[in-house]
Amino acid sequence: MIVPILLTGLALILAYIGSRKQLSKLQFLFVALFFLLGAIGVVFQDSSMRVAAWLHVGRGADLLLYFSVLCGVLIAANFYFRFKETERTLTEIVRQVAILSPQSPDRPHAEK
Amino acid sequence: MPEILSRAWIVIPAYREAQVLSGVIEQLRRIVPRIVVVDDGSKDDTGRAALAAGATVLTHLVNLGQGAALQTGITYALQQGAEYIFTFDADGQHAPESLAVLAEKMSATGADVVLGSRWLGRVEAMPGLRRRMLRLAVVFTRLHSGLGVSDTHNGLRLFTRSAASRLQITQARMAHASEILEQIGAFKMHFEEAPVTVRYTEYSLRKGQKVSGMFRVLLDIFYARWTQ
Repeated sequence: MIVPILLTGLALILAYIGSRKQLSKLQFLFVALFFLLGAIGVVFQDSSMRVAAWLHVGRGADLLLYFSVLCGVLIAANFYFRFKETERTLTEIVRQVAILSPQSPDRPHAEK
Repeated sequence: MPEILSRAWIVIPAYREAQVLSGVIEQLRRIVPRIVVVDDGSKDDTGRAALAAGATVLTHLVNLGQGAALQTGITYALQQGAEYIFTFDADGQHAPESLAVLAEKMSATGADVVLGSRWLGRVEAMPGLRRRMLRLAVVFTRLHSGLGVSDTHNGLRLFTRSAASRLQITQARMAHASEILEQIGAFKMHFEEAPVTVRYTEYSLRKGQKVSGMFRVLLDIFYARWTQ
């Protein structure tokens, strides 16, 4: 019973991400691939064990743990880069505002 | 007065310096009349004090850091037609007489950039920990930028217009000092060092860089290297 629920959940989330159109095609392809792997893991529950054995990482559950840690790190890095980018944009905006409205002793009120 | 001084602008990044800034500006104006202070989002009267003392004031709506403030001031001075640009610290640790020393060095050598060096000049009342920290920073900077400088993180510098136009300070916080040296090296600018006096006061020490700040600077430098 749990399998169809999980699969439906995955499909709904993927459809929601796709409908928001915030990702590029390539990014969406990666997310879809990620979900597909998740679905395979749900339907063929031995698959993760087999892959784990092939990679010599012990149990399937260990493989999933390592994989989720890797995903977490990638997400954090992604946020960090976005933050830096936003910071750069903010700096540029604040700089332009400052330069456009200088105050000098003969013009003490900033020009608007 | 060397010709450079009469054709120069001074850029002073300032964050919460209302206490000392007007004194610094009044002294500087006797040497270089055109001064732009970048008030980096201070909550106190820094901007008003600078204006009252006779400087042009640019205001960052939020605090961005010294590097960002320097770049704002340099961009503005260039727009105003500055032929030479000094950068100067707001906390009063530099001696205004040092401006003439830098200008003379530039006239004599034809350098694109003259950097103030406290180790070639005089250091007054510097605590031992600060001394060791700065010595370490110099070694790191030499390795990192490949420039044979004797001082680093010294806010007193003089640029020609063409040198200042090529600078692109992207390090918003304190790592800009290393970034400037890196760009001097990358653009193969002719740089010289000139002896300056740095006077440590209780005020400048309280406002200045902490040892812990050094790690953040290192992190910023490595991040910039990695993303280049």
